[in-house]
Amino acid sequence: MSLEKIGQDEWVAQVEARRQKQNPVVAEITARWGRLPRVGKIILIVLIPVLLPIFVQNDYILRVGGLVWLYAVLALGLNVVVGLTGLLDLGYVAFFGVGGYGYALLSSAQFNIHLPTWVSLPLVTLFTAGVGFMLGLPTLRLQGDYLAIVTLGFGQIFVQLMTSMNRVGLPGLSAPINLTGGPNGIVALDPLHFLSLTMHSVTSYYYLLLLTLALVLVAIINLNRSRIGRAWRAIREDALAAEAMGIPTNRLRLLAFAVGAGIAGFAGCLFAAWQQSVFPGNFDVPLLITLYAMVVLGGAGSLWGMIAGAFVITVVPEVLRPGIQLLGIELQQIVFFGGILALLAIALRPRWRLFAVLGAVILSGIIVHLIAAALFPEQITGGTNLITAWLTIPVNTTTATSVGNFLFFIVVGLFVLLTQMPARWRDPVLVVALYLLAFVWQTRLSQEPSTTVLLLTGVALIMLMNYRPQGLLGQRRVEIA
Amino acid sequence: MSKPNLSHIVKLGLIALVVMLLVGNASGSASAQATSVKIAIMGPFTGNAASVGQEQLNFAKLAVADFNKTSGMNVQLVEVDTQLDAAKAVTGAQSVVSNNDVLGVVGPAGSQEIEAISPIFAPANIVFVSPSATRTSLTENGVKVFFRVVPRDDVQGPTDAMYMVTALKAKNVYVIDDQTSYSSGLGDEVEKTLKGLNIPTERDSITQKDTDFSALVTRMKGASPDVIFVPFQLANQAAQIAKQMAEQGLKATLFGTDGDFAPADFIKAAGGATEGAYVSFFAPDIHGLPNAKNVVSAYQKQYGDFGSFGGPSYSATTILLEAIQRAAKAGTPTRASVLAEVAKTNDASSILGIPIKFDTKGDIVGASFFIFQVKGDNFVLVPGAAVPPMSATTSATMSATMNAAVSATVSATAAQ
Amino acid sequence: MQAFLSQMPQQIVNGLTLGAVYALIALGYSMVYGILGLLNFAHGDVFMVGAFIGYGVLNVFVPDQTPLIPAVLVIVCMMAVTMLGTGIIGMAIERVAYRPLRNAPRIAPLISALGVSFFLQNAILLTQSARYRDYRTQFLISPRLGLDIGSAHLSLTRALVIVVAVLLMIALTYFVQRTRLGLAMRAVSIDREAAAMMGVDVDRVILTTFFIGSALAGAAGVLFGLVFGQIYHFMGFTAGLKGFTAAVMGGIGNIPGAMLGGLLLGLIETFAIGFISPTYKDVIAFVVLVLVLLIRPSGLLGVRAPQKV
Repeated sequence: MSLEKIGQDEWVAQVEARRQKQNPVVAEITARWGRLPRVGKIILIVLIPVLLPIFVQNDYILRVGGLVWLYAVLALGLNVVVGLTGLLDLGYVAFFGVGGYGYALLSSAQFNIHLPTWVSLPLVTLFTAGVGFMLGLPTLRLQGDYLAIVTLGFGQIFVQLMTSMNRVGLPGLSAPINLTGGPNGIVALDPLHFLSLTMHSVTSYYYLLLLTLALVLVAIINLNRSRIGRAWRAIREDALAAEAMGIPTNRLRLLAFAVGAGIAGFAGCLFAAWQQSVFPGNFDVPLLITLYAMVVLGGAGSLWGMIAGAFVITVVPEVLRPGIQLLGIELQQIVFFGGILALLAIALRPRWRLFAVLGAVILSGIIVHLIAAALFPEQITGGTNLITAWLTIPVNTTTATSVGNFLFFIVVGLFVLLTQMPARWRDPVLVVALYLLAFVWQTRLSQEPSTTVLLLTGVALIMLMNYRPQGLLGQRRVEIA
Repeated sequence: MSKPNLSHIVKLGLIALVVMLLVGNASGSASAQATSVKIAIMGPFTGNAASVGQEQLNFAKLAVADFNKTSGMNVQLVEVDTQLDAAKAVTGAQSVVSNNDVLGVVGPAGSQEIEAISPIFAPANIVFVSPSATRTSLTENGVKVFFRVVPRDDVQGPTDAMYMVTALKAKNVYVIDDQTSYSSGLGDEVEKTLKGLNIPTERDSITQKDTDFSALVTRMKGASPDVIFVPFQLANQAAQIAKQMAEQGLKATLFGTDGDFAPADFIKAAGGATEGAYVSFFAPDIHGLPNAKNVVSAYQKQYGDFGSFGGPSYSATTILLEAIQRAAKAGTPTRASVLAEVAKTNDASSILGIPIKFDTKGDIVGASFFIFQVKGDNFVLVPGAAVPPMSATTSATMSATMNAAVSATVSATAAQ
Repeated sequence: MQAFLSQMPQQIVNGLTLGAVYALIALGYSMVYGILGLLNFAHGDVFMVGAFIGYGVLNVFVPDQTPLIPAVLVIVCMMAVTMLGTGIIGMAIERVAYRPLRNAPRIAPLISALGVSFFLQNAILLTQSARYRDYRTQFLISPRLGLDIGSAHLSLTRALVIVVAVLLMIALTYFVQRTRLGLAMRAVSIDREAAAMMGVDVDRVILTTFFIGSALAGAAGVLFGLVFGQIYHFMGFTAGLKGFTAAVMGGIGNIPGAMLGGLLLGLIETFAIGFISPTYKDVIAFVVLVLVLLIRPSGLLGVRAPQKV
């Protein structure tokens, strides 16, 4: 009971304590963030991204950074349609593509049009917004998942058209014309020119995209706080009630589509200029899935969540990229084992349980190794480092691979069972599962790092959604059925 | 019974990190001391085209292992997965450029990826050798760091078309591409040549994700083609078409190209339906080459059978590695010195069974095409069918001659 | 016109075979959507896993070229083991990835499903390698066996696929309409809370739905392998998309609608390839879908539920 907060409702006054009990880690972070003076917050948010290129001269990191800003812009645009207005638009990448191809057609040798940047950018953006509007029109009658499938169809149609419109035979033409370059795309695009600057380097695009993100963010924050934003959120919560309140839902849905499409179109231009080429495969379903993952992970509806989501989804696969080493060890390995240790530390309380489980795992590994060495002395490798020596790995790589593959399914099964098991059995099963997991890691997962990245991403998504269904920065919404 | 809070987690994390560093580095051997020379391989190791990328990757791994054994160097292979997507290839390329240990790259596999990453590799002066990109323009745009061990579309297309007309006496051809850069480029070239010879040609496309072609086969029955040209990357799609042709009684000769040159996927999977089909390939079948016996058996033991993408990948990797070895003789190898050495490659007997030497554009010199026919379980070389690539002028003259010959025949037949 | 008439019977055969597979996949989508309101994007990958399980069973009984037991038994075994296996996998997915998200915003389970999809695809890629696997149906059912109906050739394999699919659909309809568990499923799909108040074990019903839906997807996987021969780790992606499209076209949440949608989609695609253009088959299919939805916004057999305010 906090007597300092006189005049305040007691339940409200105890919010800190409640949060602390619920989730200490997040509560701690939120509390410290709240205690920062405004200057501190501005410093952290603004200065770090802005000054990054000065301190980090690594082009790769800057490129990933630029990608984060680009995807954040796209996620913000998608958020307008999905998060704010509640329209499940599965064809969003097509708008990105319209922007990209639009810029490409106006700035390349395809039709020999080379419009200056200050003309092509607004032109393409407005055109894409128009396309968004046109797509919105026939979908006004559709609700929910039917809208999803129609927009998905539009997205697929766009990709198909871009792929096959390199042989368009119109009556009256002697030979088919090449409109979109087909699978070969359009290459050698003009770089962006602003006043006297030509954008070539990664650093310049980093800043350009950061600036774009800032502008789009400010614009959407303002839109969100205005009547239009309130109307959108009303449509998301209950379209019928909104209509009954006098909100012109049709017009606003079209506006949402147009705004989202316009943002995507603008981003498309920047993307095309950065990559200096466009291909149909750039705007296909995998990118759509990535964008949705960003939006949902960040918390659909929350603007800062979009940036968080873009950051997580872009950076995590890069961190897991094979070949990156920290002090001589593969980063992937560190993240994998570190992640498991962290999870164990969080899940196993009191502290002695953690050490008991780890100890049991190590012990059982040694026992298995001794038994195997006694039974099949020739067939176990000596191991090049502590982990491989502790595990029992067959010398014959084919056997190791087959056993590893088989055990992979056992491990998955065990972990699934673990989530459903009564508490008494959990720890022993956990020990077995962990030991087998280490084996599978060493024989299979570390040998196929590209596949492992996707496996870990999948598991991470499931766990993240389970842990925080509203997304990282989303609001816990009460659904009234 | 303390509740975990922020500082606890941080402490635990640090302890864990220290433990792992100790454990991971507690190696007795000298592996950490060897020269840290790396090459990267870019390709579609996951996703829809994984069968192509994994084959290239595994052969490259084998090449690196073999090279390390014979040369005593310790070169490491860095995997960069592109999923055949240009945008992922760009990020991957940037990570390679920023990794100063990497001296050269094998791949990427797809022509559109190469278009997208050339602006990144070229200024960094890092050499990249592709084992499978055949789009003509890739060596016509002045990029000095790109090489490839496979010949170009504008050479293979007319060759195949000519074979169809002269040897197979095709009067009516159906061309199907799979909407990739490779396939549609080849399809375009063949269609152009055939149209120039006044052979009626139908053109359609499938996608790499299709598995059922029965509707397409029924459609083709209506056109009654003599030859069906299937320049696919995924051989089993061609096998599937063959199977469904047999099922529906469509009799036509299948003609495939590089990607189809895979015994397991093109011959076995078709269960006999591809008997008598032709495939053109720029190198002999490494399954039967004495040069390649060890590599083939090592690969088959560890990974199973393979198609046509593996050999060029092994070859490209070996070229890069040998260039590094030569550069290392003159001091520490750098990207520039490796690039220079790759350009000087002069391998008289590669695993592919053909000599490898690059011209100034980065293309392989003196490539020729071999036509194979499926007989039983194997690809059998059609004797006398090794056709040297044609220059543009030869091709034009040849097509003019052919044109005349064909129209003469046609009018002669009509006059009867 | 002549070409059209002569090719039509064969194209119908082609379309029905494809449609039968799509229908089985669409059923799983529709059932889960009807009960949970969830679009199970991992469903296509369950189909893919089913195909691989069937392949595994096939390898046990047909190690080389001759089946160790009669072909009919092999097929029955493949179907049984696969359906059981995928059913269990479906239930596991529900428990691990969807149950905790039952009260979450509607869009959260989509990402969880995505995670499951990534996991399944790459688990198979890791353990089975990227090579295409061949069902070698020619050793089970001779490719020459078949019926000639007019200008169409109906191979025994295709007939088998269509018949088995139809039998499964009939069995499902019987189950849903005539058994108590089916009644419970229908109740839960209409109003989950009311059903719970009526004494229906909602969790058990949902598990059963996932089991049945996934088992059907697994069956579709085996049938697909039998008739189209080759399977690989990424085939669930397109199959899932097509199944979803078919389910929506028929009216999502609606079991007869899913069957109809699947068969129709198969026919539309086949006709598009055969008579218009193979290159644009997906475009045409989607255009037709959009037209259908414009005329009947809730799908062909979908019932426009009155919106309760």
